[in-house]
Amino acid sequence: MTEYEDSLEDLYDNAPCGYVSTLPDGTIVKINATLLRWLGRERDAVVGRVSFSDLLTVGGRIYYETHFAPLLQLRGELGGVALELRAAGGTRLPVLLTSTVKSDAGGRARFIRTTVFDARDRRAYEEELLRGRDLAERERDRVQRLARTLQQTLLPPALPVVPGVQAAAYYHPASLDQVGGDFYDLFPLPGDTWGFFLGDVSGKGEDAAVVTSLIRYTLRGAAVYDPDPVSVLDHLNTVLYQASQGMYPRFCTVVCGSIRRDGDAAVMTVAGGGHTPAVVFRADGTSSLLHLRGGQLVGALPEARFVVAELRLEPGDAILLYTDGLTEARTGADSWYSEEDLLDDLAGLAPATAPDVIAAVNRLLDALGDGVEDDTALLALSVPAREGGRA
Amino acid sequence: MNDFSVTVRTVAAGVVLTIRGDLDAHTSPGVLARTGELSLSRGQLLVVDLSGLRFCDSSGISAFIAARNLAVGAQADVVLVAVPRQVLRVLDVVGLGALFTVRSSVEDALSGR
Repeated sequence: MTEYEDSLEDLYDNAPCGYVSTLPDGTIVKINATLLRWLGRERDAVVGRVSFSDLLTVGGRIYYETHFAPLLQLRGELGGVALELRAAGGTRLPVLLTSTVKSDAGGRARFIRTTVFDARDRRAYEEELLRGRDLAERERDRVQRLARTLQQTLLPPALPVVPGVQAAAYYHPASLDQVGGDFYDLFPLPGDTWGFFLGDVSGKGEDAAVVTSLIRYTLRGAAVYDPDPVSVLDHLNTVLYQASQGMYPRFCTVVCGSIRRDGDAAVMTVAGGGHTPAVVFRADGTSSLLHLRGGQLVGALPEARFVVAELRLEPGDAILLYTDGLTEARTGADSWYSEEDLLDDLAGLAPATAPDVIAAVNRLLDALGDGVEDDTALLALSVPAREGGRA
Repeated sequence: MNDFSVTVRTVAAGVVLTIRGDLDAHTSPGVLARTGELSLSRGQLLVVDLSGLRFCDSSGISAFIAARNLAVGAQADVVLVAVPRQVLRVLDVVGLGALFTVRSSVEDALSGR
């Protein structure tokens, strides 16, 4: 047996949504039982007596009269507008309104027919979403704080004072939520010598942070035991290669060495393990790249080769070590910043002090902006110019 | 826009791994995972086709090292094909240029030319 809906009257009155018809001036001329029940009102107190906007909250009425009604007049129909009704007892009922204008043969508006959907569930859902978003934002702040703290433990809290040498460093994080894999350090060694290193671990995030931590302690320990930078890198290579057995290679590019005062100059020994060339700024105004070609990245191969160079920093000379977040910055859709670009951009800088160099590279990083997709670590060392000489 | 992809094709002489797009810290874990699933027999070739590669940074290099480690472990050979100039530069900087055989096309690599 099929049962038919036989009463349109009943369907109208007890529909699962509210129906209300008004004159163009808003006066209610017909309203169904469902909507009256939601409002907690009697039919006789509403029909012909109140305007539809009287059923709205104050905010809803302003919105209705300034936006809804004019737009409805213009378009002839309007749907999905969220407003609040004022029910008896002062409770608010969130609803969704859809209205159409019924016109006569001459095109003049006669009635406005409106369906009213109960939106309490939807409102609860939206509030749930807002709460969810708040929670996610708080969680993100927490993750960023954690990443920042962890990052700080991977970098020296402050550079030590090295007699006769100026030092400056900077860490530029590419992301606030992720710990980067770049590192640097400057630390005392026996015999008025100072050790330093700077490098970049493959990968990002917690895994990279664990490796970065291992690298830092291994390098510092190895340098105290035998300060020869090639021995230091050999030692690190053995430790990293053993730690990363398996399919996922863990390695780093690193430049490390030592610096020792020699009269009013300084003598450096620098070894490179697959790292981008350092930039040397001379007191005479020239600058150049210090290539350590043939040095292999550290931790990827059981036996790696490292290349060493001796360098003398005279008064007024400076050297910049940096990680590849800088030279792999994107400058266009298909172009990247290279170390040659870096040398060109810093060409006018020499002679410069370590803080000058860091400040200049910071300006470059700002100019590259979002192009810097990887973290960048900078470490600069310089020997102060002679009294009366050029700064 | 980075339209990155990595595909694997088995051929008589071994396996061709094709990498397209930007190989960086975001995409290299996917390549490492695919490389880990490859099976190579002794004397076979692992051909890594880079003709569609646009960019590779030091984390992308891990994919080449994984490919080499896999090949060395299986007593197979690894050949890089159509290595972009930018990647040759990175391989040179990290001192691995001499570690890989480089060919200009997959056909050349497979025929041993």
